[in-house]
Amino acid sequence: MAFRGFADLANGDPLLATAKQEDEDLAVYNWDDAGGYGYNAGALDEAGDDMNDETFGGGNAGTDFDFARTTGSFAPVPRAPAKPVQKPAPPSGPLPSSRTAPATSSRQAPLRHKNQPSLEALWKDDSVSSVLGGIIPRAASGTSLLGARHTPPQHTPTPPRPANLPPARGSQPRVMTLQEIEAEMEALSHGSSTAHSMPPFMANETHAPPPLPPVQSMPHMPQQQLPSINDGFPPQHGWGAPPPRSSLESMLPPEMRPASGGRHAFTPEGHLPPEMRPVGGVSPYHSLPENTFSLPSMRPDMELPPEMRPVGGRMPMDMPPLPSDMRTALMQGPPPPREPYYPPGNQMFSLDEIERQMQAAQLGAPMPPPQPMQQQGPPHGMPDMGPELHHAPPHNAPFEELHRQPRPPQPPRPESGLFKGDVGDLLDFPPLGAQPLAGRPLIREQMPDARTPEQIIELSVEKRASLMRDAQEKIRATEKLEAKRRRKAEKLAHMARRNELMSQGDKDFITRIQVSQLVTEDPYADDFYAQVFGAIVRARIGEAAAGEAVIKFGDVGVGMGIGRGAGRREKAMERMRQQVEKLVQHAKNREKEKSADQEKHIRALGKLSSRTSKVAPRPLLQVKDLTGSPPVTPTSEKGRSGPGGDHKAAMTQRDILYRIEKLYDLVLQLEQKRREEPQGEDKEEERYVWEGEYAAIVKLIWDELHVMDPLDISDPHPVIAILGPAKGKKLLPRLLRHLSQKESLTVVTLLIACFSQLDVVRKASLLDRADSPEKREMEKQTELFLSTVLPALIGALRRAGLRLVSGLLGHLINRCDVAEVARTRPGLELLTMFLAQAEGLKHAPAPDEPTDEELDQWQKTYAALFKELSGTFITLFPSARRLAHLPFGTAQYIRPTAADDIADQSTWQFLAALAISADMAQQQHLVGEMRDKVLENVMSQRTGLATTEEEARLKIDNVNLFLNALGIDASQIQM
Amino acid sequence: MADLSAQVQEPFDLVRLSLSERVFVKLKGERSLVGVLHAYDGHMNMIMSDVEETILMVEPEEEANGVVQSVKRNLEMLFVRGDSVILVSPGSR
Repeated sequence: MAFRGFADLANGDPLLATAKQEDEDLAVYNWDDAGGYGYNAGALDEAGDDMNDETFGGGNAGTDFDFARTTGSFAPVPRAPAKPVQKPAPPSGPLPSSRTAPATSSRQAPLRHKNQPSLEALWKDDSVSSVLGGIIPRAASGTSLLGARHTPPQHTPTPPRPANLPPARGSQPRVMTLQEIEAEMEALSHGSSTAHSMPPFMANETHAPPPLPPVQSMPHMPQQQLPSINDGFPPQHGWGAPPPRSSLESMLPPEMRPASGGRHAFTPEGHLPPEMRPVGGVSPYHSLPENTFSLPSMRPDMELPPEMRPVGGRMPMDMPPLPSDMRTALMQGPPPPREPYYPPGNQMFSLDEIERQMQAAQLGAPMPPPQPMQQQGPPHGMPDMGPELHHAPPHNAPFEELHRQPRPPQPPRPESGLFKGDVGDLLDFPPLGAQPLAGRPLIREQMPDARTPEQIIELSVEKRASLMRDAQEKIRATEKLEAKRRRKAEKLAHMARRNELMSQGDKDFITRIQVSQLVTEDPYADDFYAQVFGAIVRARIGEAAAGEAVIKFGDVGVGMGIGRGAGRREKAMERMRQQVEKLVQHAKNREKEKSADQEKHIRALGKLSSRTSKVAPRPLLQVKDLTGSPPVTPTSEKGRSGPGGDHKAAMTQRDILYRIEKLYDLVLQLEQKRREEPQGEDKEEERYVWEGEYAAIVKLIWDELHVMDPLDISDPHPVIAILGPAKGKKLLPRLLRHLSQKESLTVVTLLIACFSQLDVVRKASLLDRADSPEKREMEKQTELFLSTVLPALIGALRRAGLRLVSGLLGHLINRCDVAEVARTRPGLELLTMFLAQAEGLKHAPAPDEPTDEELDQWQKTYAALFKELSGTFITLFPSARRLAHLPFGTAQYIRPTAADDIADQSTWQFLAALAISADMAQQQHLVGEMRDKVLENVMSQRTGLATTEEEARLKIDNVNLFLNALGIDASQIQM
Repeated sequence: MADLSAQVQEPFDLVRLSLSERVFVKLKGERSLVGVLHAYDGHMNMIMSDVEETILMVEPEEEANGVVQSVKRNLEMLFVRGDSVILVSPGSR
């Protein structure tokens, strides 16, 4: 019978199982391909069921459900012939899995009967071997047992059906009862005849055949084997309450447990033979184990015919394997004692040998538990089975018979009705294999509560039903937990496969290789963008900069940038540090070795080049460092002209770019130096050295900047030229930070003196023209200038006194065309700053109070400025300039836009600043010149020429900006 | 200024001069780019911004008698794989 179950698994289930596996995530972890044991999913059950029906025939399903009992019924049929031999025969034929339809069972049975070996082979190949893999072989043999054991004892197999035998031996009396029951059952069911013929064995076999419930088989075994039901009762409790593992385990002999590896829920049925446990753990159960075990606990399920199982999905899968194993075990049972244990079938295989031994020892003890199991099983299972059984005459009948045998006193059928619902649940439960595991724990828990088998029997149907339900729920819960745990364990086991593949030394070696790619001489700079980005992010988050962003390694001066992920652990960092230190040490040592090595070879082989493992690609083109011999630049020579060689031609674009790059190099060096600034009191000496180096670089920059070149050395001045490219503009503020106050003021002075040479001033007229790529470029440059250079200038101005402001403005007026400068946005902003700064300084409080001389000087400067600008005030407005550039006659058709007003804003601001500092005459002049513009704005606002509120507001605000400086307001203007 | 040329020790030093400048890049497949160069590496992989890509397409002779057509598109930011770069030159300025 067991064989059939296995065969089923192997034939139909495996496929199903595989399919299920594929569907499931867990599938990955299922090591065994064919092993139906591993299946957890209900899908398997369904699929398996279908297959089973086809293969075995639907009719027999009932028997399948009965598993132990049913199986017995089925078994009978196939075994029937064997039965005569009873013990021997049952093993071979009887086992046909309950799942297998009657037909299938019949087929299998015949086969088995004919050749047990062949059966065994089937088992081995399909179920056990595939499932268990390496172990499988044994399992297969077990099925295995059948195979291995059978082979040797094959024919003797009778013994192999240990379950049967043992029961027979141990529980002959019971057997009798069982036989009777079976007879009744058989009468009811198809297989009954067989069952009858094979009383004890039949029962066992039949039970076994219902592949599913090893437990069931177990129970059956016990029943049959163990006359003393009392012994069995304890297990029964377990069953009833599904006192799964704990009880089972406890029941199981120690040997069993170890073998099972805890997985064998069967253990709970401590009575169960060791084989059970071990087998479960080792073989099929491994995959299914826990769940399967739960099933056993579920016995009802076990008992359920194969059909039932299909419903359960998992059940079928697991169940079949188990039964098969069980059966096989039973079959092989030669060691009768073992047979009882076999129920776990799967486990049995691996454990077979062990089991045998165990059985020898356990026979006595194990036997009893099984009985209880059976008894319990029947009641529980019976009820569940009941409905189904009834539905499926054949299967049910056998089951019933089986149940009855143990239960005779109890009314199985009535219960069945109650259990129907339960049955479904049971079916849902993982396959026998699976259940065992999950179920066991639950069972254990429940078990305690569980009454003695007798008590259970006495319980009313309702109570039993409720008990069953509770148990099932618990089982389910445990199954879930168990499934989780197992999944985890499987994952771990999966990963564990590669444990110890590498020694710690190997790992360190790999780590070193990886780390060596990361270590650099300048960890911060090499990781610059990441570091800066990290700093910005951290600043945004408001997280205090904690810890080093860079690992540095002592005296070596190398290190590596590290992400500062929150998850970083100090330990990991420490390990990394150690690795790097080792790495550096290795590199050092190797250098020495190499050099020493080379010494030896140099004479013989000439010079050898040694490549370092540095990641840097080999330079494709090696140009000798020319710095030694000052190259002669044509431009520099050619440019010399004029008196005393004071005048040079303007720098070429390339020269400018060269210089900018060089300055960038220096600035980057400086910034790096800044980061390396020694901190702390005790580092006076270091600090002194550092300051020296720092100053040296600043000096380099200063020289490179050519600030001190005569103002007229070229046009534009070298410094101004550098501000041409965008990157030059960006460079200036970074550069000024490192210069002293005096130096930066010198630069500012130079800039102001040469302001008209700036590209943004020189080409500002582009901005007034029609759109073009050049204009767009100019706009960008202007924006950049306003955001980089101008703030630097203004910053320097803020620190200047009135005298200096006057002087700078004077410079500007003398050296530049102020009117032109003022017509540019940067120029206008600069002038506004001058005026505002001077106005502020004029009224500065006591300590900074300007002297009369300073005031006088400022007044003169201002007058000069005003004079320069007078007559061109209108042209200061971008909108006016734009109109001027339009073709003649079109201006009046173009309405000023809000953009114009916005652009004009800075001009109005400048005029306001100008007006504040102006004396009465100057104010009158200013107002006279601005009258038209002011009136235009006010008019457009009042007459509604300004189409939108926004535009009108802008216009009037602009006007008021200016008028308020004069002490009047737009509202005072009368049209 | 004499010392400035000393900086140029390898071709890439010349490319470096064009960092953050507008450059013209000729690519395989009749493509050319004009844009601001932001970064490059030893493979001439480049990061460019504000790029205008021009693709020259020559129609088959039979159909359009060898008409040359250029397709342009603008890209805000572009990564250029170095293996397609034929030429890099400073943009006209």
